[in-house]
Amino acid sequence: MSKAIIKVENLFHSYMQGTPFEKEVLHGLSFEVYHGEKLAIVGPTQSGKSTLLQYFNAIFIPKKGRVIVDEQDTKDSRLNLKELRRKVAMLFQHPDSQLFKETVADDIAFGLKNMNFPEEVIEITIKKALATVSLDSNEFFYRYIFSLSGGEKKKVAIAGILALDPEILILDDPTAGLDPKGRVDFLNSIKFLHDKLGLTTIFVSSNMNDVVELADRVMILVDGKIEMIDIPENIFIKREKLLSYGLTLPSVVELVDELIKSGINVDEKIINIDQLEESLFEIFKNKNSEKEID
Amino acid sequence: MELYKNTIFGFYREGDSLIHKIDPRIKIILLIVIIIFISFIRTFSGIVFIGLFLLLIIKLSNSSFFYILKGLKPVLPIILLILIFQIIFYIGEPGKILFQWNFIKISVLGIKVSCFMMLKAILIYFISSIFFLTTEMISFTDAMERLILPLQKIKFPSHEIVMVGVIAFRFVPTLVEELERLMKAQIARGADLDRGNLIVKTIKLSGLLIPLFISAYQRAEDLVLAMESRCYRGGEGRTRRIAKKLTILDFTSFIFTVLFFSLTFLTIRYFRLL
Repeated sequence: MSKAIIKVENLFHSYMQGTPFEKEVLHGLSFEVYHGEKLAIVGPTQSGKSTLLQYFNAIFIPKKGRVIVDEQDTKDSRLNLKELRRKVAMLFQHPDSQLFKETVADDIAFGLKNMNFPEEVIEITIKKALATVSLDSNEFFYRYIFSLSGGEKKKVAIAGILALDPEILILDDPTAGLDPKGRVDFLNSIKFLHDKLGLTTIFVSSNMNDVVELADRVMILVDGKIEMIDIPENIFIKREKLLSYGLTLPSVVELVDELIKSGINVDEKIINIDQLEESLFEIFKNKNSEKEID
Repeated sequence: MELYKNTIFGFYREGDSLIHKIDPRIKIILLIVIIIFISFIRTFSGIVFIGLFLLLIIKLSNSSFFYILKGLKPVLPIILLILIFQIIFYIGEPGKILFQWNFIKISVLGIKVSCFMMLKAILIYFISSIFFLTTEMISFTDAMERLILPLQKIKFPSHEIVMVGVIAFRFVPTLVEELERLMKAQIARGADLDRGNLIVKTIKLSGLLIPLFISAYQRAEDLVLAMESRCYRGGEGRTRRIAKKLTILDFTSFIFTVLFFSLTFLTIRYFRLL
């Protein structure tokens, strides 16, 4: 694998520090995120996923442990936080909380203005960003935010962060609340952007099908501890363990299990639909040729 | 940058102590009785008696004296300011005057009376803190409603008023959570809300107010829908899920407190302590 772009070392996090209500939610996490990969963070609710995400763009600064982003310690007081937050773009779970200006253009311009982009570049950048998420800039430039549909809001939110030309993309449960078509579109555009812009992507998801479709590596976070971090094939083979954490399995994996139960001998390591199709095709071809021999 | 999970809303701390168990209606009445009593005290020995009583209650409620004392910190400057003003502008029988300049007179009596007032205020703070530490907001509002319910007979909208209060309290954490989300979203796109001097910060915060109000209105609309869809139509004929009945503990605590205060009162009167 290529070099690490984010390094997390022995990271702890507590709420209500210094009061009788103190509660530790992350218990000493250490891991690395490699340049250009797509890492999925998966875990039951209250496992600390969203908290962890907020360390990558220095919304949280570690009190105990270290987070190093692109060779810069986020604890370092000389660190240019603005530049870091431009580099590490974050898409929040609800686009409603991310969009706070009146019109689409105003909202996308918000980040650009904060980052001191020159006036004459801003309009072009907004149009480019809208084009990247395949929204027609003639139609959407002056549209009011509240007149957008859920999927469109999500796209505008992404345009808002892509306009800043980030290097790392952080997505907090990006497909939640999207309809099935919106979800497929969204995943495809993320894949496309990832490949085209060479981004590193870290995403939290409660939908295992997203994980299978998108992730290069998967981290299983349970109760603030990393239980597993590995490629998806090695994660989803441990079915009992995943279920015991209260997680679900991807539909394809469930289908594979059912097939095996009913006597069709497919490889239990298969996690995506294309592989399954191929192997079923193989099996039926062999069966047919056996029949011909008979 | 973490507001919601680092803020304590209300004072309530879960517990299983005697004081927690007393019926909130009795507690409210006793709180009022004690506050009235405190404001009637005119001697230092009375303060000492009540101080001892409060220590006993703190012990019984399993709360920590220092934890409550810490809560006094933010209001301390105001208390001290009031104290100073009272000493300076005390108008009463002039006792021994220590210092005089124009209309400012500092007398021994003035200092005494002002310190006295401050001690009383602190006692009242303590007793109300213990009350809110051991009483959940819900049971407090519920008890309030039941106490002022008889006023409904004279067309006083007691249920509605309490309901509005409950919703207002309920909205505080929601708004804080929403504010936190907005702030994070803006910070993530390069707004530095956490930097700059007070004026700069205030200007930046004002950019949060409009979206915050919009979302508050949306929340309120959702709430109205949720209430209507569950057939809410005011207080008339509503029954309670948990019907509280007074227990022996409630009567005992009531009688104990009233006895304690009457005895204190009589003792002080009788012996003419200070």
